[in-house]
Order: sequence, then structure tokens, then C-alpha cells
Amino acid sequence: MTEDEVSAQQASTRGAEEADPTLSTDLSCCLLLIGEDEASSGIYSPLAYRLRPRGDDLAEHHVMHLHEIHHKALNDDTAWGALIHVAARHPGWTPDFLALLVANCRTVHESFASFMSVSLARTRHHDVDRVFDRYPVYRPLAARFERLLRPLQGQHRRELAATGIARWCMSAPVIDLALSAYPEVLTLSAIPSAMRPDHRFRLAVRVDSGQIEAAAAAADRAFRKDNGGEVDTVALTETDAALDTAWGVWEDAFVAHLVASVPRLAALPTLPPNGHLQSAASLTRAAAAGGLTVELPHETDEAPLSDIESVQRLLNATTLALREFPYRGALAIPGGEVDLEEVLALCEASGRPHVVLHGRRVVDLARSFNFGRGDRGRLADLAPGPVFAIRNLIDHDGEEVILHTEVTSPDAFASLAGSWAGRGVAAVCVTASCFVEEAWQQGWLPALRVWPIVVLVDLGLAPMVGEGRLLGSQEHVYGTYLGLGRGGVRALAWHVDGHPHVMLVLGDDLTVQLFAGQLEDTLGLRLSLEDSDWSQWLDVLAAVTSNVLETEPALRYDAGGG
Amino acid sequence: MAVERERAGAGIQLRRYPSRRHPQQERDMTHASTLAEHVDNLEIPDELDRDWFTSSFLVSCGIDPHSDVADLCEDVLLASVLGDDAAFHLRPGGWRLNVAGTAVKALLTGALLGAALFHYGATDIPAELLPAVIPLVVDVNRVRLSRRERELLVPLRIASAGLGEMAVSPHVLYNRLEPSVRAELNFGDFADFCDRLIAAGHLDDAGLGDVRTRPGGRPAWIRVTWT
Repeated sequence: MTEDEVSAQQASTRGAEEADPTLSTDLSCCLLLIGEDEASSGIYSPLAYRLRPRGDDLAEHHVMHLHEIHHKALNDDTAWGALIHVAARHPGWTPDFLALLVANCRTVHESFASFMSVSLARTRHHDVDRVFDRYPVYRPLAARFERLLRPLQGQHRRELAATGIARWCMSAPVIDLALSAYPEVLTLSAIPSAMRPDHRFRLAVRVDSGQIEAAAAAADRAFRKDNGGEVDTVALTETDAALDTAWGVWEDAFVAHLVASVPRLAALPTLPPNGHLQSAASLTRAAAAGGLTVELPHETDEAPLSDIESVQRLLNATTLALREFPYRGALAIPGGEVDLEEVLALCEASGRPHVVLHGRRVVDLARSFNFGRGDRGRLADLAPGPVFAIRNLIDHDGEEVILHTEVTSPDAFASLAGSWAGRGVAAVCVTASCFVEEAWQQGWLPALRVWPIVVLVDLGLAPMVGEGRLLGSQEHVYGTYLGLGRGGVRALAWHVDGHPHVMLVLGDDLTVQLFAGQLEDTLGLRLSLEDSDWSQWLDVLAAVTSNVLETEPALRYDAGGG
Repeated sequence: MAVERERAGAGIQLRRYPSRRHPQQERDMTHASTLAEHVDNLEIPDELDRDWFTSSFLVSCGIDPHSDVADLCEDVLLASVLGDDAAFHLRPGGWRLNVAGTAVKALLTGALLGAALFHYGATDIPAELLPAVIPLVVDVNRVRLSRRERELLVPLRIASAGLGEMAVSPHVLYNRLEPSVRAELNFGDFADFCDRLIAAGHLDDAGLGDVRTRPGGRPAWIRVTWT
């Protein structure tokens, strides 16, 4: 390899890490769930979280995903979390400061995520505590909340209390400090211990059981007065927004009473729930005045989120890792760098001969593979619209490379389809984020329909509803779950009546459940998950899923990189 | 852990003990060793892990491994080593610590003292930073440990080499800390800590915001008893 090639490869690798901090070797800015050798793992960064399910233990997969969701939830709704988001996004704020901010809330974060993930997973898996056998570091972290909240009746009260305490720990007026120092970067030594989450947590966990019981009794009274019943009898069929409001009454009353009854806690500066949003907005405005854009998860005048929106926020941040690091990628045009017949011979040589033409947004392709400098330049110069390519895993001088054989025009595709005829399964796999950009479709779709088309879902479902869109407006939708025989990854496929393509979502079990919930919420009675015949699609879906899982580095749901 | 108070409302739960100990206490101390001696006598494995730390070390000090004191000890220990990639490894099955024997002993002592001080009320400073501050105010080598009573008797002595009984600003003490510690430790928290030591009689108020170390021969004691 020449010096130039080495340099190019290093540059491309750096590019992938910059795009995804969870791929960096320095994880000091991340919160981690790491267990025994073959245990599932999760890494949360303020920009995204990365899941790596292993094996077939569904309880472990659920704990892994719920763990990372709770890191995100705690950061997105609190002042300290907002400061972390700013530090992660603001140009010029060093990773060192971000790492210190994370280090000073690591105990409360990991305790909360460990406690909540297992508590919620217990509703599906009664023996979920065994999961801690594979994550021994996290058992004592969860035990801090369990020990503290043992006096409370019912798991639901304990979950609300844990949420309230964790949020209180993260709710000091620290954004005001950052604002008063701005544009100078705040330093940790400028933040008194009374505002640091782990310090507050260590003071809070020393509360005695009588004070916890009294706070819960006060919260019960507040809830009865507001909702006319007990907090653990609210119907879960209510919407997320309604449940959040109702449970928030109990949570806020519990924390208010607890803090008021313990002088050492009452002495600590604390903002009311969402009390940081005004200061956070001022901070982003101050940044904007200097020509910088810093986007935060919540805004001051934001209406309560619908179920679909709140799920979409989670999905936007989810990355399901299929391998440790992306493959190296190479682009080739038939007739130039590569011979099409050789490529098709490779496709034909696989166990079940198949060829899949992938359609991806340029930005999605660029972040998914470590392309060399030349290929990156070529991608940057391409016209808007999807890049269509056949993928093959090849050995290039001892290194595994995904060769992308480009199909540059509908005519080139027609030629490809003709060459492949009678040689095996063929399919087109286009991401939904490509599909919602309609400009390319008129030229390409008539040609592509020679092969079955599978739309790979990589964004939330809400923008897909409507006349002429992927989920239509009136049509019946038939869905089915697919077994993939690959630990950790599940699939859900559906077909909108009258549409020429099917849609497919791949993910861990919880992600697939979230999509199924979105489908039900979005489609209502239009959706049927039973009694549909998928026999004509099984070979195509098998070819697409195996090709995607073998070549993609990760599954994401952020519209191909936004 | 119970703490005996000298002054109600002083804000810190410290008690100054007379230089002559109570006969009962004297008897107890015949069975006690200093914490440093106790740690010296421990057989410390080359690679220290969580199981050894909780089951062998904390239990030998009379600390329930499932208590919040034990949690604090672990937090303080890990915070002390997290920046040292060569020594600390979060591995499958838990954390491991690989440090030369003497360094491990200092870490263990610091973790126990930091957790103890924080737990019984010296909460101005984050627990994880206390091991860095303790050498400034406590003579660690003379910390006593009685397994039977599970108590620590900590003689307070400002590490004031060259300062004698000179009145100094808390800034001077603060500036004697490592720069990396000062980068994380809020000066206001440190000054509050000094105020509490003055209120409890472990530092003297020299006026005009200065503090003075206690004269030799009049050791001040913090007594901490696990319960």
C-alpha cells in the first residue's frame, strides 16, 4: 500500500469515527453497558446510541436497549444533560470538558439506567435479574436505587421515584453558569459540587426509609387529588403524553416532599422540571449570534410529544451495530474498473444465487463504508438522488472490501437484469429515505420494477402516510414478522395493498416492536398482522435481509443521515 | 456510621477528642492498628478486582459490602484510577486494577478515608476528590482502625510543611493541590470545607479570611464509627 493510500485510508477511517463517536477508541465521553465476552453491549454518546445484541437471550437484548434509552431520556430532559448536549455539539468546546461532565454524572446515570432497564424488562421476563450475571459491574449500581426505594409499594412507584431522584440530581441551574461564562467555555472547577449530579446522588441515597415512605405518601395524596385514583391503576392504554402528565404529578410531588424534608438536599440549588429550557435557549441564541448552530433535543415552547414523535426521537438516535467497524468500501463502474459478468458470477457462486441492487443516499453510503479518498471525491461529485450498486464482499490484498458495482442509469440496469435472467433470485433494496425524495423516481422506477422492490425502512413512519406515499391513506396494510435465524436481529415486513413493493424493517426485538407500535398507531384498523400470504416474497426477503446483514455495518433509522 | 457531635448546628459532625483518651477507648485501641498498618498487613493480589475489594478489603474493615459506605468506597477508588488507562481495565466480569503494591495501598487507604469523611458529613467536596484533599488536612499514616468497634480515629494535621503556625489563606492550601485536582475542585467548596474544619475546631481562624494550623502537641481527632 502506498503512502498516499495509507493516508487516504486513515482519513476515511477518521471520517467514520467523527460521524459516529461511539466508534471512537476514546469512550470517555460515552456511557457504556459492557458485560462478559459475548454479552450484548450498548454505548451512549450525546449524539446517538449504539447497540450490539449478541446471542439469543431476548431478556438481555431488552435490558441492553432499555438501558441506552434511559441514558438518552435522562440527558434529554435535564439541565446537566442539556449542558452535555451543548458541550458535544458546540464548536471549540473540547472533548476534555465533555468527558468531565460525563464523569461527574456517570454514577447516577448508570445506576438509573441499570435499575430502570431491568425493572421495565421484568414485565416481560420474570427472571430478568439473571441478566446481571453477565454484567456484574451494573448489579451494585442498580442496587443503589433498589436499596433506597425498597420501602415503596409496587414496582411502578419505585420506577417513578427513581426517575424523580435521577432527574433531580441532574437539575441544578448549571446552564446559567455556562451562560454567564459564555463565550468562554465553562470549566468544571467553576461548577460547585452542589450542582454536580453524582455528588447530589450520593447525598440523596443516604435518605432514610421513613423519609422515602413519607414522600411517597405525599405523592399518593397529590396524585389522588389530581387524578382521583392510585398511581398504579392508570390504564396503560392512555397516550404517552397523558401518562407522562399523570405520572409527572406523582413524581414531582415525591421529589418536592423528599427534598423539603431533608435539609442537606433542600440546601442544594435545583430547577423545577424543564426549568432549564429557557437558559438553554438563551445559550443556543448566544451561539447563533456568533454564527454557530447548536441544536438541543427540546425547545422551550415545545408541545407534549405524541406517541409517534417520542418513539421517532428514540429511533433517530438508535444504531444497531452489525459489526465492530465498517468494511472498507470501493466503488467500481462496469466496463471500467470491473467486469459485470465477473460480478454476477460472484453473486451466482453464493450458496443460494442472488443479486441485490441497493439504492442508498450518498451521505448514507459515505458514512457506512471506509472509502478511499478517490471514491469519496467521486461520491461528493455525484448528482442528487440515490446511488445504485450491487455489493460483493471480496478479498483485496488480504483485506475484506465491499465492492460496490455501480449501476449508473436505468438503461444500465436493464442490461444488468437481462444478463442475470434465469440465474437466481433478484431484488432491488431501496431505503425509505431515498423513496421520500421523489425526483429520481420517474426516471428509475419503471425500469427497476422488472425486479421485486423492497423498501428498507430507515426513518419514522409518520412522513410516509398520505395519498401517493409509502403507507398510503386508505389502503389496507398486511404485515408479518420474519424469523431470520440470526441472533439479535428481527424483521417486520408489510405490504400496502396495491403498491408494487413491500417494506421491511430490520432491528433488535425492541426496535421492531417500536415500529410495530408506530404502524398500529399510524394505521389503526388499516393494519392486519395476521392472515396474509407471503410465500411469493420469501425468497426475495431472504436475499435482501442476508445481503443487508452481511454488508451493512449498522442499521439506523435517522433517514440515511439526515 | 454514627458520628458524635461536638457542637449542635455547627454544620459538621466532628468531635475533637482530648489528647488523653478515655480508659475504655485506651483498652479498645490495644487491639487496634493504624489503617496504614492494617493495609500493610493485607495480602494484596497483583491484580485487584471488585470481588477482592469488597469481600476481602471492605469486610476486613468491618464495612458491609452491600451498604452505601461500600458503594462510596468503590466510587472513590475507581475515580482515583479511571484516568490511568495502563492500570485500570473495565473488563468482562467487572473491573480490574493492576498497580504496583505501594500505590494500591495508598489508593485503598484514600478510598476508605474519603468515603468515611464524606459519609459522616464532610460533604462540601465531591467524594471522589477527597483522597486528593485528605493529605492536605489529615495525617493518613496515623489513622486508626479498630475492627471490633469498626471505628476510625483520624488525627487531623494540616500537611503544612514549611507553614508552621503561620496564618495562610485557604488559597495557599488550595494551590498546594495538584493542578489536575484544582481543575476539577471548585475553590468555593474547598473554602467551605476549611470553614467547617474551623467550626469543628480542627483549624484555627486567623482572621481576615486566613486559617492557621493547630500547634503541635494538640492533635485534633475525628472519630467515625461504622454502624
